[in-house]
Amino acid sequence: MKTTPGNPTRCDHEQLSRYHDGEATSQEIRRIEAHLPHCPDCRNMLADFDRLGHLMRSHGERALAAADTSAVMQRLLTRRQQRREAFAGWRNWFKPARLFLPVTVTVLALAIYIIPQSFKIEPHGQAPSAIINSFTGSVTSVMLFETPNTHQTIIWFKEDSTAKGENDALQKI
Amino acid sequence: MAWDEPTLVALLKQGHEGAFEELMQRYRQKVYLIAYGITLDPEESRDIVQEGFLKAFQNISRFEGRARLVTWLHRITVNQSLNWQRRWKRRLRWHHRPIESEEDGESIQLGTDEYQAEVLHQRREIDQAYHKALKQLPDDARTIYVLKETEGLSYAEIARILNIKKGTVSSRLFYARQRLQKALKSYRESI
Repeated sequence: MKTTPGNPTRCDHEQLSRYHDGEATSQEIRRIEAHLPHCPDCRNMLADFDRLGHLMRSHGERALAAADTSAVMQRLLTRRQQRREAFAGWRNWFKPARLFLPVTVTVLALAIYIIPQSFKIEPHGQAPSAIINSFTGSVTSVMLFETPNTHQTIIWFKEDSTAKGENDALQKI
Repeated sequence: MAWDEPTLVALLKQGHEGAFEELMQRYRQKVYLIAYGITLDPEESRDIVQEGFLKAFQNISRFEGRARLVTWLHRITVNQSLNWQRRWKRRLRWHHRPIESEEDGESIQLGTDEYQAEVLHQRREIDQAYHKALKQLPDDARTIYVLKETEGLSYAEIARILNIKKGTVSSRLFYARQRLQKALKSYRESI
């Protein structure tokens, strides 16, 4: 940043770069255009920006001329074609496989539902189960009743047996 | 085929092969220039062009049309090119390859009728110095410089592509120009 003799405005090279690109604000444009006639440094810099830009473009153009982008395009189209063919190949392979789909579903259904049913395979802890043991005596009867969660013992007396016993006792007297 | 942009986009979204060809036909040179400007490697630039178009075609369904198709392609190319730069192996090779070998036959051949050998020699020298100076720029500054000088994009467009502020575009662009100017000071009168 500096001022030049006879020029009250300061050099602002970044602003100059914006001016070169047509990105300066109207205020900046006015300021730069008032400054430039008095500042050979800034005029040179502006000319350099132009030269460098031209150099960049010609550098790119030479690279482009040597690149043969049409060959790149052809290669890309071939690659896409190969991919499509490969995909079509997979699709053809899957065509007969689609016929097996209902069969596969049926087999799975058999495996999941029907086979366990026919072999009476019951999932653990779901259905009620009971083991019953009973002992019948002349006076009492006992029943053991078991479920997976409870153990119950039921004892009951035979009333008629009691009566019969009483009769026996009476007869003995 | 001269489809307008919305038609081209619609056809691309349908997977139309002709639209894909049209896309490449229209933009391959622009895309190559950006890739080359950032990587400064002809071979890698060709790969980037190829991958960039494939990526564009694969992701065209995500293109919402808020930006222009070419801006979207620029973004893909810049990302691909910068990703290339970030791969350390390539970076190593990139920084250690002698300048002379990078011409890959793209320089003007000496001894043609068009120019004097001496002039050609000087141009080659300037070209090499420019190539070297470009290479020494930081990636972000070079990317902005390439987008500005080869594509003539506005600061707002560059800011959108790189997802940065317009002020950053301005300062980095100026930085790039300053560095290049310094590097080529001795060739100033010959450029």
